[in-house]
Amino acid sequence: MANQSRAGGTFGHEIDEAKLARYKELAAGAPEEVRYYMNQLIEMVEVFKKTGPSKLPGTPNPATQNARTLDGRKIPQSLIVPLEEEEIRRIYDYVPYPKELDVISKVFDELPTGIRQTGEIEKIPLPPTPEKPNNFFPKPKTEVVDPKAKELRDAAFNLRWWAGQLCLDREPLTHQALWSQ
Amino acid sequence: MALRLSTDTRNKACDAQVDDIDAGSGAGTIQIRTGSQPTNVGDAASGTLLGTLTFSDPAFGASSTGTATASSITSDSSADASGTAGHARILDSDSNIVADCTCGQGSGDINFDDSTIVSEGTIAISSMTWTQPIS
Repeated sequence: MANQSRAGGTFGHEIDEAKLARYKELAAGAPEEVRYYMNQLIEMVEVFKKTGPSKLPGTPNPATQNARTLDGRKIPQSLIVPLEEEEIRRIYDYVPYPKELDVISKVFDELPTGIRQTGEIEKIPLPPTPEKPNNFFPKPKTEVVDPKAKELRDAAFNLRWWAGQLCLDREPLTHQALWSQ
Repeated sequence: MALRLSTDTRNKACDAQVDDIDAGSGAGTIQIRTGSQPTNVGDAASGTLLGTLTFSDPAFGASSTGTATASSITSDSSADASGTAGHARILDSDSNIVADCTCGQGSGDINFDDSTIVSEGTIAISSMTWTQPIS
């Protein structure tokens, strides 16, 4: 399937003061290597949030240009807003390089997920079509088996997502911001 | 000289492949998972399921010069788990495996702007083509 056009995007979560405080608590109790990288990324977010959002114009985000919601609505069109040069310089020392991000991903990937697939399939209803009046899509069911493990992994990967966005020199467009448009 | 397929044959082959995604009484899906693709396409699922995106029905338009283009793909607006997208599995609505592929950031068969997925966040695939090569 090489050399074919398949493009996508992912959207993490907003990090406010309360969440940042919680991430610090989680990092303190995490395995050593995880704690090290989480603390680095927490500091990165703290430094980044000291200044306001970029005022540069955005360009349409290819990840959301042709996507839609379950009830058939088009997903909000999002913009990729680049960071100002001054901001890039200001946060430069706090944002991991791409190769460092790969290492961080590998470390965080070792964390227990805290969830398991139950083996059941849920039929999620979709708008009917002439050919498929009872349209649906099959979604494997998952359940949380270790909430603490899940919370730590989710925190680690949300920080990793922020790092990825800042490494791309762009304003992180979060899940919350995307759906509030 | 290698075996080469005519454009008409490529179109028929491509259409047959993507039509498999539409089998069953519902829509086909793309499961995004961590880790590498299973050794064989038909092997049991591997890695952690990060999210499920849904094809339109039909999933793809008619092929032209051996390539079909996907209609809108429904995002997963509440990902199941956090992790790094490593591979994807494409299934019909009866959960039969049609294909699998790699995922990556700036690489892979599905190229995400960021392959990091966060639980309850959004995963979007904005474009997908499927090509039957000439040989």
